[in-house]
Amino acid sequence: MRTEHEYRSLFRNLTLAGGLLSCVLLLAMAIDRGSHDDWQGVQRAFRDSLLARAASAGDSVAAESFVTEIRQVSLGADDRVDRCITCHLGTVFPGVQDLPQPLGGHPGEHLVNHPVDRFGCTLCHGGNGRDATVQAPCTGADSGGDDPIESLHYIQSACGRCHTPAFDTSETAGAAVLERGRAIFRSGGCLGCHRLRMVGGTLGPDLTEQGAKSLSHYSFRHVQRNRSIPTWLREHFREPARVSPGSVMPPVRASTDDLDALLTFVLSLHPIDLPADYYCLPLLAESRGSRPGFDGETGFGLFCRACHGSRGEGTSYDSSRTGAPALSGVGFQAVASDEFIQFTLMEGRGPRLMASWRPVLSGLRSAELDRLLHWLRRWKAPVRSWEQVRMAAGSAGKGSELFDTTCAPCHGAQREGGIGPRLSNPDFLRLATDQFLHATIATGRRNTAMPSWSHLPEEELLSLVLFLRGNTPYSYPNAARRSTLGDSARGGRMFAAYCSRCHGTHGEGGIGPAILNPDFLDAADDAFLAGTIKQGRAHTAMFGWSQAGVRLSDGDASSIIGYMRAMAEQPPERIYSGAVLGRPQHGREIFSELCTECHGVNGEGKKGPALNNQEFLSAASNGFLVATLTLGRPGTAMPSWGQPSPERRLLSQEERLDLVAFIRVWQTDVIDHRGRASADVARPGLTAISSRTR
Amino acid sequence: MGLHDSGASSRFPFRERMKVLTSTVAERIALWRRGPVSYRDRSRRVSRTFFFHFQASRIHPFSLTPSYTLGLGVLSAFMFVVLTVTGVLLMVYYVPSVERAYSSTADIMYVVPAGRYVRNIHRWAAHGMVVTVVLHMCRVFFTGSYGAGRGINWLIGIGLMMLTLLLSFTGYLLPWDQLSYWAVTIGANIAAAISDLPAAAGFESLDPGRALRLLLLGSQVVGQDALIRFYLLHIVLLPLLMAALIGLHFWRIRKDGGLTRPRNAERSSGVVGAPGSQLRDLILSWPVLFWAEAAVISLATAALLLAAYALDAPLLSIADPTAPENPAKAPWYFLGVQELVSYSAFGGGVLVPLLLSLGLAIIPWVDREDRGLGIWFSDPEGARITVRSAVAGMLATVAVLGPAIGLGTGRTWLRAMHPLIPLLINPATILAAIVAGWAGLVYRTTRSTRCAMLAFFTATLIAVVLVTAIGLWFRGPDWQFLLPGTTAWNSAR
Amino acid sequence: MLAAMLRLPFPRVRSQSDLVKIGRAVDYPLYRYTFVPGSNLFVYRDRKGVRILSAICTHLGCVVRASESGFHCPCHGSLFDHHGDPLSGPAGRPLEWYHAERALDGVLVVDLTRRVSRHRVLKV
Repeated sequence: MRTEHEYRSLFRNLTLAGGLLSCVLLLAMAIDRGSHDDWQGVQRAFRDSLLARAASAGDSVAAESFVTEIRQVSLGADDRVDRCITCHLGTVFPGVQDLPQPLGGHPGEHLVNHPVDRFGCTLCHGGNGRDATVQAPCTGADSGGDDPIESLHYIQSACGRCHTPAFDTSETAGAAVLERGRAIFRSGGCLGCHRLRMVGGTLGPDLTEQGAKSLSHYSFRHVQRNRSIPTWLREHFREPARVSPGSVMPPVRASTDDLDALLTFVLSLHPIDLPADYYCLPLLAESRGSRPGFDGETGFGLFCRACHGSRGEGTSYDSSRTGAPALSGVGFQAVASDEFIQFTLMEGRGPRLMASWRPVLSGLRSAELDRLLHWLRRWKAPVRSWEQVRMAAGSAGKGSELFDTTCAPCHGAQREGGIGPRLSNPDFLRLATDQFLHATIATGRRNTAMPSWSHLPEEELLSLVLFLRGNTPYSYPNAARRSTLGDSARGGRMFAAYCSRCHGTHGEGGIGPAILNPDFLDAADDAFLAGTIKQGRAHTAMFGWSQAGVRLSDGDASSIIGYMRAMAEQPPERIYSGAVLGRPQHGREIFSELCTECHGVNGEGKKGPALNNQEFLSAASNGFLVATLTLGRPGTAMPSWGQPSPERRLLSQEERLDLVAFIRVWQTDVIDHRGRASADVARPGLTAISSRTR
Repeated sequence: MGLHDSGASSRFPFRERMKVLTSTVAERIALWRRGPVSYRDRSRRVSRTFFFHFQASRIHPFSLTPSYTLGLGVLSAFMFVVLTVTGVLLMVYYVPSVERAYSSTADIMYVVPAGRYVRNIHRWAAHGMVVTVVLHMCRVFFTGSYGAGRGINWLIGIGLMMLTLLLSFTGYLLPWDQLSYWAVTIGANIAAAISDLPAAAGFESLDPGRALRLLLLGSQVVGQDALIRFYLLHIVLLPLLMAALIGLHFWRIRKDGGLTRPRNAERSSGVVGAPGSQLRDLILSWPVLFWAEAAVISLATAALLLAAYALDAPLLSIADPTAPENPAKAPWYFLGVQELVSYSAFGGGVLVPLLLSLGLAIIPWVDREDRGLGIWFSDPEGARITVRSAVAGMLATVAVLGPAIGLGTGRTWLRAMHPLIPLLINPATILAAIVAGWAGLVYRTTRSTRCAMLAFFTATLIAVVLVTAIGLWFRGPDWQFLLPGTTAWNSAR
Repeated sequence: MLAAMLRLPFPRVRSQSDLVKIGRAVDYPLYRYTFVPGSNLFVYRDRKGVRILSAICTHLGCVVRASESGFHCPCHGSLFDHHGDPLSGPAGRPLEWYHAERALDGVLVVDLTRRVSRHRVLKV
């Protein structure tokens, strides 16, 4: 313990030391503007330049009236203030363009249309406008790096913010990189998962405001390089699963320049947060949901290409989870009906990646969905007319060979029938014109097992017709082509009473063929129908209704025909799967032997599509399934099980029907075209109806 | 003094009066320059000046020993003054609305003349005050200065510490940037964790946490209501409360006879520190005490200016309720709590802090030995106990948190437990139990409550420091345990 | 009067309502937990109907994110399964399921003060 005097000296000295240090620091704070208030230094340098110029030009008024102060542009909207012009004086002072930066002018002619007092600087360049020091706006250091200035490499994203709509094709002048990015976006199928301005899928994040998101919205845990949004986006395009674990996005295969263009476009996506007069009208309209419609090709490019391939070739199921079926193959186009495709578009595939593209969910319009369907159909070979085909050079002999490979799997080697009707039946051949035969072969029967064979060359089609015709000519020439149609209501009652048992409640087929099928009714004229009804088909379950028991009169027959024609014009409530004609237990055995490797043990899909999917089962009729099994999907891994091949065993008709019956067991919901599911499925159970005989 | 020279005044009244006036003024200036010399004048200088009169006019010279108090009490009070002054200056420009809080703070940093420095001083003084207050508490404890009837003042001091933390916390929200927003969200949710107890006990409908959060935030999420409430607390309610308690604290110091001092500092064998110590042991406060305080103040000013000059108070991007920070960390003084809370919200956030506060509060009534009063660590035995307790605290923390961090918190493999179990048995409570057990053990072996309290306090202090350090430097995104400097920190933040 | 003053800090009218409108059921995709950002809720829709799950972690109130096997909270790593039950991490209580109704204009209204069991489905 010291004496009082010692303490007094000690503390007085400490006080003086502290005071001195404080004064030094205060002085340092006052003098040293180097790292903080350097705008004053910059402005002094500017004034010196002005004075130097004035000295030579002889006019020093402007120079001398230059005041050193913080200059700012107040944009009014939500308190936005840009103070960049405090140092970047060349942007607001005339005649000093050539000074070195930051005092020099703004390159290019942009400020003519985008004056600083209306637009400020940060609208285009990003950064922290409130700061009037050097480092912070450039590096974003003061705001913790969350609001950095935009690298000039991606500056065109700023143009896109106000000028570039996504769905309208109007071009933005002077923004070539942005335009390239937009083109890539529009043809990359990005909106199949992502959403943009109320249009698109919901699997991935909504991109409408992606450009406005700050750094905190991005996770850099798996990004190797520097912490900036363009880096993140580029790495994300290249390897989405690494950057965002759990993502199912396929990698974007493009050059670095293209990826930069794409990310420029993505960075341009901002919300409409400025007054409306800053924006071009198409962009404003688009943000409110009013956009130009697009055609099928654009739609495919916008939504489908990423998964279904740029040429509809599909994506392999081996590459991550995003396997998608091939749409352009013959196997699909021949077998899938328009209803199947429409249903798939509207309902999607539930928990699988294929989303529902209903207008309420996807923002698409019904007309655009129709155009998309139309465009998808262009991979299908067009159906040529009989007049064209009959001119080709075909022969019955060639037809016979063709028949064995092409038609026998369903119609039987001796044309005795099985899955398909008996084609050697003379009653049938006497009623069927050559046009009828050709129409059936070329167009097929939608939603039944009869695919469309329009992809066959004309000689082959003619040969088949000739072969089928054989020696039984058409002999019903005297019947009227279109008889007077009777009362269709009465016809409906009679149909329900007599016909539905074999032909299905909705005429979708069962023991008998599908007779309310629009394709059938297009091909068959009333004479064919009347003849078949009245005389029946010998040796089949179709007996002539004008004979034993019932004795239908001509009027009755025409009522039924009237009803059939009327029904064909109405769109069906849903796709009717048809009766199940196989034995599910046998089907299960076959399935576990042959199918599980690709389709999964429970049909959940592994290297092939999921078969236990309720939406798929509601879209695919039994005929679709049988036809797919029989023909396979050439060009994909799905082989043909009906056509003989050295690599695998042939599935007989019964076996194929058994498989279909087994697959049908998985269906628990029946979804109609309004998306409503009901559980009243006619479950086949494990006791099957005995397969039909012909 | 011949102030009234009656001889000449009758002839030349004006001149005489002027002479008297100037001579009086000269005397006063001379007096002022030299300062009071006589005993009476020096004594009066203290007791008759408003700003000085709360100091004693006589003190014991031991109280001046720098190594005894380290000036921490004065330092803390000075920090409060600095904060008030700089706070008022900041209030000239700051606007407590969610639209303008951030931009007004940014303008203070960038545009307002000297605004950057004022804000920096305010920020570093705030952090500094938390540190000095805690250190002051440690000093008071280790010198046993809660004894000899100073228990009430100890309680007031604990209250002041709580107020300091609350003031710092309420001020933290005001810049409205990402750091503030999420720190306060975390803090409010920690407070609302009080609902976990009734929920685990089965009273699902009882929700005191919701009410508490409503009171604190004016809503269930941090928004404009919270900002206004925090602003109100920060500039009016809490400072007034703090000023009142500081006044009370100083008054109690006077009542309790000034600062404590060891027995052998008394030249006579009077009662330690009680009023009525022999007058000859005391010296006049003026001027030495004031030089001592001036030294503390001036060094503190220099330090604050240096900090303000060299380091900028952080201002991240504007608060974005849709973009949580990852990791979202409470202010550093609450990171220890947050670390414990990451194991159990109730245990670490409510139970253990309450127990800790209670434990601190009752120290003067548990330990009445007055042993080694005025001496750091009381005596050699006390010093030994302190060192051992520090080691014990360190080991206990590592032993409890090590497995907790490495193996997971038990829920992974004991999912079916009744929820009350993890509420009451979790790393926070286990650590608290170990510390209490250690204190009990020390009591058993030494039979001294002072040693037991030393054990408890030291072990707790070390544990708190370690846990805070873990929360500060070893917790990265998703609250993963990461060593500092590894690349895994490269994430959203 | 005293009671009223004690009640003063507890507001009667708050800027956020306890009844939240979250759009129509048909706007939500099937078989997915869709996040509703403004109200921190997940909407799960399947063929049976709609269920509403809270996205607020029961540990300290951070917003959970959907993950492969359920939900995960980024703040302290709590994991929840698809039912909202906590799997690991410091969260003790399961995520809350809320009551939803259809308003007169067909829009779903969620009542944040009424919790329901996880099996309760609003049929749409």
